[in-house]
Amino acid sequence: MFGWTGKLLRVNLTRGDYALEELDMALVKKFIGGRGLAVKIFFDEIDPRVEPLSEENKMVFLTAPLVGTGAPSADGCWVVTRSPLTGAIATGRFGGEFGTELKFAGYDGIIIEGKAARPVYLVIRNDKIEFRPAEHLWGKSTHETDDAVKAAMRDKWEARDTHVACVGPAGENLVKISSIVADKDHVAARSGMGAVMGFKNLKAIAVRGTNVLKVADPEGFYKATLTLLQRVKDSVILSDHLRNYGKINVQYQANLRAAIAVRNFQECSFPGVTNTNARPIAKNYLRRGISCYSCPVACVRLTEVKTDPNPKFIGKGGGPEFQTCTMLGADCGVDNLAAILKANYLCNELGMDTISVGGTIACAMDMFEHGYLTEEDTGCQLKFGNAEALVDMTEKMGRREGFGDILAEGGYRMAERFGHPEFFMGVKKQELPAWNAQVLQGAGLEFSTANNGACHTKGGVFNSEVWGIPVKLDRFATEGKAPIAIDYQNKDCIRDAHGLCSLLTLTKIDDVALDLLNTVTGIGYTPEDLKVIGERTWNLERLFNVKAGFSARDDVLPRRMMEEPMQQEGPCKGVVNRLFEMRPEYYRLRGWDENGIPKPEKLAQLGLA
Amino acid sequence: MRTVKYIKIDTEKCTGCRLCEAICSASHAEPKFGVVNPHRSRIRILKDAEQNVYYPTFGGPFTDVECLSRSHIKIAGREYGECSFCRASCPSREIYKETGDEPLKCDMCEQVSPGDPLCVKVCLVGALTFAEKQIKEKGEKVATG
Repeated sequence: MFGWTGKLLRVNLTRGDYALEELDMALVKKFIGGRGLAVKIFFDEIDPRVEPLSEENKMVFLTAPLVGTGAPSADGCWVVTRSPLTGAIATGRFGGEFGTELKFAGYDGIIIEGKAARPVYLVIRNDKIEFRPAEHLWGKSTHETDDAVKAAMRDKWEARDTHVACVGPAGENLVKISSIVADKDHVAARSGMGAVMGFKNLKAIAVRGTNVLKVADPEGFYKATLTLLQRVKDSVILSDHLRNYGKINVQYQANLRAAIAVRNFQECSFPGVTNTNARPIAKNYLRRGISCYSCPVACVRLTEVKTDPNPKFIGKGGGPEFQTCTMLGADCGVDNLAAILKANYLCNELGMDTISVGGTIACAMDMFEHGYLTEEDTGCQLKFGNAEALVDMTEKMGRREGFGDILAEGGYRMAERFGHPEFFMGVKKQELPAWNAQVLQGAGLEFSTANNGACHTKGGVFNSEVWGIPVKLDRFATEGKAPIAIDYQNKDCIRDAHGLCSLLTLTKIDDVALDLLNTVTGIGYTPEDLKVIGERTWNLERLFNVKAGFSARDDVLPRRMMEEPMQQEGPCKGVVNRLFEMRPEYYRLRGWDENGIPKPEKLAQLGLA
Repeated sequence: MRTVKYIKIDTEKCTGCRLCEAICSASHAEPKFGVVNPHRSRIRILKDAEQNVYYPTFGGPFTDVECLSRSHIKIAGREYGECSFCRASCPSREIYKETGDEPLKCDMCEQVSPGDPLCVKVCLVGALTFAEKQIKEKGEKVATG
């Protein structure tokens, strides 16, 4: 067995026992690993109509063949479950070192079943697996949990190499936009997976491993590793921009190009970005840039607000990156960087998705300004630009206090409750990410068709539309966007199956990634195989959603984006997203019918029938 | 005076990616590059995000007893725990040891990549560099001032 360890750990929380299973190599050939394989494992065991917050729902944590081998930026651990927020498939990933450690402990993945009667956490030390009571951890933040779990390990040397994935108070409180946090600041954020783990009374999983991983073709693997490192070194984006400033570096330029979410997507550029971009962060708040396992890019930021006129904003932790800073900042009209950082720390500590938190609060602010929410409802002047309200609401959301209890249900349910779902900016009940889809046609198509609801990691047409990477596309044109979006989405599936980080796609990696995969596993995938695997993964996720009751009517952007022209002066004045010009072609090229359902012949061709 | 080469560590630049650990353990494995296990690496990174500490150390001398000189050291506002800088493979901790308690010592890749240590090669952030320094010969007197 090369690359893989060949074992899956199946944990049943109801019974409090576990079993070991062989990894099915036939499935590995068909899906490689990571996201695709995790979805396949989940799909085969679950009725897609299962109630997300129920004992029957399961969670699959799965790594990929390259993870842990030392292949640059191969550090992902995928989490797949049915989302309580969207009802669709939830596919999230965190980096850090949890996935790596899991493989060194001797497991490719964990399947979580059932529901514990009392709060527990799982400790995996090579072949020793323990269920430990977690009553004393219940209510603790993710950072406190991380520290407490490590402190309970055998000694501090073991604690040092232990890696913890846990949920915070938000996950415990079944907040619909809660996340799973690994190694304190690496987050599988979207679609509310934390609530599933919280519902199962599983507070944390701690892993420590000292086993080996084997590589099929050592010399070839070494050469491919050096090649990929050289590519990273040669790429200005990866080894200068991202390393020195982090993902937030794009915000300033993206704002100049009028492409970000501002004031609940009413506008697309924001003067306040001068205060919130990468430079002020690097100048005033940065502690250090750190990296996930085996990643030479090191885009993660550790920051600290040491002093601020408002003592509420003092804190330290990881972040922010571009999506966070824009959704909590520009989208809420907030230009107070300390407040954005604090809200980010709170999201990580309470275990919430920063994009959805920003989107939900922005939605509430928009409704407040239109008079559909009053101070009686919210308890504060929830207006655009109110930095203190942003921080307060974030905390209240995670703890389900006051108005936060309603916000914790996510933007769609909140807006619907007050009778105005048209203010909700999202797809499949999940908040849109910070790229403003109204003024980026291809991005709109991608976000509306993404299987886990609007998501920035499932495709990358916006890279072409905003930056011209790898090819320049006209952002206002709809012609030709469908095939490109499909290409991006399939390529994402392939990259995710390897276990590589999405940032690597900013340079050319296709050939060397394939070399790495083949030298590590020795399976001998061909470029043609990969193309089919990418498409197969996307269609399998789609199939899950179809069985869960999704169809074309869910693949739409908010009406405002498609009907109300952009009011703001600038290059985007008068633009709307013309999704319905692109979508029929998209469905046709995908081999789906006009209702967005994969045709039987397509499924047969992909081996999914 | 004599010029020697050594691996220079810049702790401010280290991002804690552990690529050096991966490549070190793989290059000393059998078959070469065929098995990865950072636990067996001859370079380990001490990480403490709270204290902002990212400190790579190389496996050094072997000792079969624990020492008594343990203290917390504070440098530039950061607190380093006991044993932080210690390179020894000793009974009190599990690092720098092969399974079966055989000690592991950094050999500057003399066998696998002479004159070009692999941990330096993969460290793109420049925390590890292959540098030169002057050392005194035994009994040599060096003019000062």
